[in-house]
Amino acid sequence: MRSFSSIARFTAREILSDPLSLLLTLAAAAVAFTGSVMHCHQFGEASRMARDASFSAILTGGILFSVFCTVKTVRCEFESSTLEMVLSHPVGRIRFFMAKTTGSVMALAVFLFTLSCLSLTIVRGAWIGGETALEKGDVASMWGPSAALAFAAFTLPLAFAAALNRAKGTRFVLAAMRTMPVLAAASVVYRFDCAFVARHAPGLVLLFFPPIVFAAAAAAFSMRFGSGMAAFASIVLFAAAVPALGNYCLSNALSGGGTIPWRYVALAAAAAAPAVACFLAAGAWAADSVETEGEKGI
Amino acid sequence: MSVLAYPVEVSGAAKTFRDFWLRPSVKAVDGVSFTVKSGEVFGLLGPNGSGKSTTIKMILGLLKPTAGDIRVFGAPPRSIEARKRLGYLPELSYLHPFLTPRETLEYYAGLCGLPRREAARRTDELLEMTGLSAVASRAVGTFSKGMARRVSLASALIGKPDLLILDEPTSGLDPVSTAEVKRLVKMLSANGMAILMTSHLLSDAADVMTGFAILDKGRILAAGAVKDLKGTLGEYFLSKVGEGAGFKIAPFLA
Repeated sequence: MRSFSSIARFTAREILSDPLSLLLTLAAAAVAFTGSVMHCHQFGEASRMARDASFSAILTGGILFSVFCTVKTVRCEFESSTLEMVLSHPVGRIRFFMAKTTGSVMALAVFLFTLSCLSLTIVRGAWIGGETALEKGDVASMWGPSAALAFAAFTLPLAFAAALNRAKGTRFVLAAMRTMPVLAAASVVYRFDCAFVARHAPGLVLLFFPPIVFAAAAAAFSMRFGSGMAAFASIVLFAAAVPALGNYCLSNALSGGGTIPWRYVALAAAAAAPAVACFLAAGAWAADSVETEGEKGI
Repeated sequence: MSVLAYPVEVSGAAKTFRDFWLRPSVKAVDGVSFTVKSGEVFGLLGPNGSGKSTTIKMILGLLKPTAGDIRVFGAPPRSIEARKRLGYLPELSYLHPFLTPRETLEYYAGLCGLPRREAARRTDELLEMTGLSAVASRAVGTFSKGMARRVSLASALIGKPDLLILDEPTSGLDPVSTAEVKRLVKMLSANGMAILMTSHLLSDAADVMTGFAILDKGRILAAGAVKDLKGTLGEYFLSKVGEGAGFKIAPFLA
């Protein structure tokens, strides 16, 4: 168990130290913000547009985060030959693969949690502001202090890390990725509305399942193929899954004060579980048969 | 797993690599047999492409032999029991560049299943032994080759192995570092650790080795004890392997 947790924690840290993870998180946050404020898309449905923009950022950003970060962390072990060092220690190959996948999901959880808190803040702000503030173009009034906190969640960690002069490459990124979820959560806690959060929570949890499935898929592909091929295979899978993702009609369910029953979340989990299990099994088989021929090193 | 089993027993091991279409392409190792005993420093010698690294990787369980049998302390190389008792120092330092030496050693200590307190104590010991205490908090990616090699060595020793596999341990090191590595190898073998090493630097290898096997084109040409050699190891090596065809000077350089 110790070796499993070591590899999982290390993998999560490796991903959260990668500038790619910070870039994807900030990009998803930017989509969530700008999708809400672009007037040409409002059509008089301010809160719905804010919710749709942020939910789509979570779903698409989460899938991209899981695919690219997982492929990178797994293939990096092959390409830098650190896999040889790891497998020369008493670690089973299947355990290694499972731990790497778990670590990827742990890092993904940071992304999903951060964007979820941001989403709640944006939607809450749009709901509070109402149509009048939107028509006036009064963004600050529409969103209120909650939005300012959410924005600060993404800029303060960067300034903070730089100010402490610990901003050297990956440690800067890790500091930012560790601080953002804390501040994003604070923006939700500020003017906390339990009923509002409870109404949107099932929808947010539903958005977590596709990225987790794709993380397992990307990990399995990465054990067998090179970086490019693994990423390509994952994107092909994404393209094939788009029609199924169309079942995520969350906005219709949440409009007019509606909510999504938790039993639907359980059904979605039950649907995602076999897919995750298949990919994990495929990845475990690939891990057991992989042969290393590393040549690179420091 | 037998308590009295030799650290390494290789019997008729062979490895044939296949291409993408699964056709045999390269026979890297062909019927290699040797044994490494506890306290012995055994050298696997040979020219480039002779199959030394492939043999090492089969012993580590990184490659599956196509034929033959390999046992590490009586267990298959891929078993956890075997890998609990071995440490590996590769020729190049395969390290995670963003980790510090302390974090690297604690990570590998976790892979060995050491409790946190024991891992921290062992990490401090090895940092002290390898002279890395002063740079324990610096990212490994900023290290020189020699310093990175020391981190790798510490990583190989973190689990207190009974068998240490060294792939070109003195390659690229300055004379002082080379002397330190040789002193360490002698000290570890005197404490009962079995050491299997490969080396191109035969004069350095002869200083520490007790037994050897010479490989060429995947086969063992000769094996024996260093103390039984009449001349130097280098002379014996060339007598077995030959001096090569030599470079042919292109006409435009003549």
